[in-house]
Amino acid sequence: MSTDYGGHGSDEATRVFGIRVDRFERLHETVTSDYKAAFGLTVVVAFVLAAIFAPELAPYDPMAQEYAIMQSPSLSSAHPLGTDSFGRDLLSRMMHGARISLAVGLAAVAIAAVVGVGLGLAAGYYGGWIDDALMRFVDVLWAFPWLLVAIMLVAIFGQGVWNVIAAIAFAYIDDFARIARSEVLSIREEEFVLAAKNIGLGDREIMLEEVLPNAVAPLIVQFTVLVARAMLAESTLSFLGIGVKPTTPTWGALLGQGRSLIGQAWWISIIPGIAIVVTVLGINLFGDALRDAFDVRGEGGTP
Amino acid sequence: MSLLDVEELAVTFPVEDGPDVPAVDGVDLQVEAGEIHGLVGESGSGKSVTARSIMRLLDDAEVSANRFDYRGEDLYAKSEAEMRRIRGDEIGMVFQDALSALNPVMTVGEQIAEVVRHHGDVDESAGLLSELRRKYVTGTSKTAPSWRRAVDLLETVGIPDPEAVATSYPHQLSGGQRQRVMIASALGGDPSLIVADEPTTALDVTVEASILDELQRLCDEFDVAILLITHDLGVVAETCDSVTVMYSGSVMEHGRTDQLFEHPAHPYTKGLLRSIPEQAPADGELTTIPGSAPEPADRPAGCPFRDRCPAAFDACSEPLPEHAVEAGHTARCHLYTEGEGPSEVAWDGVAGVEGETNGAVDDADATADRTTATEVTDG
Repeated sequence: MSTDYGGHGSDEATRVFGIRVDRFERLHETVTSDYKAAFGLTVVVAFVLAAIFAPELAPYDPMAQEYAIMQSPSLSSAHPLGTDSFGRDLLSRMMHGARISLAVGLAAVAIAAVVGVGLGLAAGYYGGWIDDALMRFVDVLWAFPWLLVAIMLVAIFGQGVWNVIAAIAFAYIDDFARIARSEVLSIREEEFVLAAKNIGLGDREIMLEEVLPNAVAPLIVQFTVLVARAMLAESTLSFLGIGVKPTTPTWGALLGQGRSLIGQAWWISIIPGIAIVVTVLGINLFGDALRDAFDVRGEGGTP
Repeated sequence: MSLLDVEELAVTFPVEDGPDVPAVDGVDLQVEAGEIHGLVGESGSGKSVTARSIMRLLDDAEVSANRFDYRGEDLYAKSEAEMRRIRGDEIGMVFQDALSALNPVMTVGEQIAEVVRHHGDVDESAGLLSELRRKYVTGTSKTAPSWRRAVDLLETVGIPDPEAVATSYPHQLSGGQRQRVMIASALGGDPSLIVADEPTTALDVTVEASILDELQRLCDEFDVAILLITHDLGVVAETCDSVTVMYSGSVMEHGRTDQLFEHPAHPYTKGLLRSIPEQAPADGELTTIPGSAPEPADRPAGCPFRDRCPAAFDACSEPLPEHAVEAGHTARCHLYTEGEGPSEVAWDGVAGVEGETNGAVDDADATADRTTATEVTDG
């Protein structure tokens, strides 16, 4: 079980999604046979590498201003993607921005997944009044506009990464809770749950060891979809100016800053925009590949 | 002392709007250590409910019994924690449909190893966190004692190349192999009793025979008692040491297999034996028991078989008596209550395998026989 099955990107995914290592043989098959999955994996790996090694790989200090070459377009100088209105290197700022996007996306969705799946598992497995109570609580979470929560958190605690994460996580709890619950509702009627009781397992063990592994495929897809959406949400908050601190480079903030200059320097907003679109698409395609790899019952194939 | 001793078991399922459903009503069941005991009955006779009541897993039912002893201790007086130890550790369960009773996303080796860790004699943690780590991250190590024991068990139940099968998922195995895996998993906790709920019904005949052979061999080798639930008297005849016949929630007859097959006492048992294809003469027609089993809710008072019984008479609406036919062989039927009911003559209509009527089981004769019985009842 200690065989190394994949490159750096897949190792990252092992820990992030908690996937059994032997599943990577299947992921490898999916990626080599399906160009969409290969594209998704490439984007995710590039994105993660850029984020992790931004300090080493970035050609310039993202905060260093060079007034001589303000708003210089791509490839016109030593700056591959050009510079922004303060003469800061756009590529370096993008790479550092990826760190924020990745951290916020993963952390927010991970928190939402743990809380939401926990609520959904318990609600679906126990049923009855526990189900009613938990799901009405989830309804309340769902009914609360997340943007309002974000503004409220910023108003109370000030701007910061953790407030952004909290606001986004809050918004996604209900997605996980509902999916987990609906999966569990059908899985708990399966005979292997009864068989698990017959070998003396308790409710908690059955929920986490027997039921959850069967519900994991749709949850993984949801996880990746929501990571992409969380990155968009973070961009939205930064664009609105209530995200992380304004001087910190994030994709949303870059997009927002470039907006007023779109006539003179289109690349300042267009390049972060393209980056967001490509990354979100890549993560979604990667999610589908992961789902195929994880679902041992499925015949693979594309959704 | 019997390994399992149940007396006057009643299981009732409450229905929200409507009368409660008495699925099982008055079941006595004794299983001796190391024997194979058959529990026979048609669909809906309550045999599976009886089996599940042994595991105490009928959450939404009301269970009552005069006695429900396992090794002389009342199962229904045990705490939930003690019960969880008994499940798997003392009593294993084999299901009819192994494909749905095995977890589809785990290798079968993983599933057997889990039972071994929880109940077997291996020094490995079965705590929630270490189990979760195994399930989601590492899997059970191929050198761990629990995995090696799982492979051994697969070999024990007659699976060739057990190492390869252990790393397979349930859907990759054949039906016979899956049922063997189920049996291996039930053996994982080294139980004293295995409850096998129609273990061969979903299998074809050749596989069925080999699984039954396997059960018999394991019964001898591991000194484990097996409660074999089935609707197939042929299976009982081949496999079981003793047998309990159930009909519509009640026990009709109970005895050693040879006693019951050679001198069936209850009209229902006789009817069952007469409808085994192998017992019918080559040129004769296969007989059936007319009518169908009553719904639990509108079961007649007294003997539930009354309405279909050719020997029924007035006393049959009274609660069932217990009649000792011979040592260890009892029938619950009013025919044997002294001084009441028709004489043995009226029995022709339900004569079993003794051979008296085997040559004349065509429709006309059967009808005539039933008429005789009815006349006697009326008179």
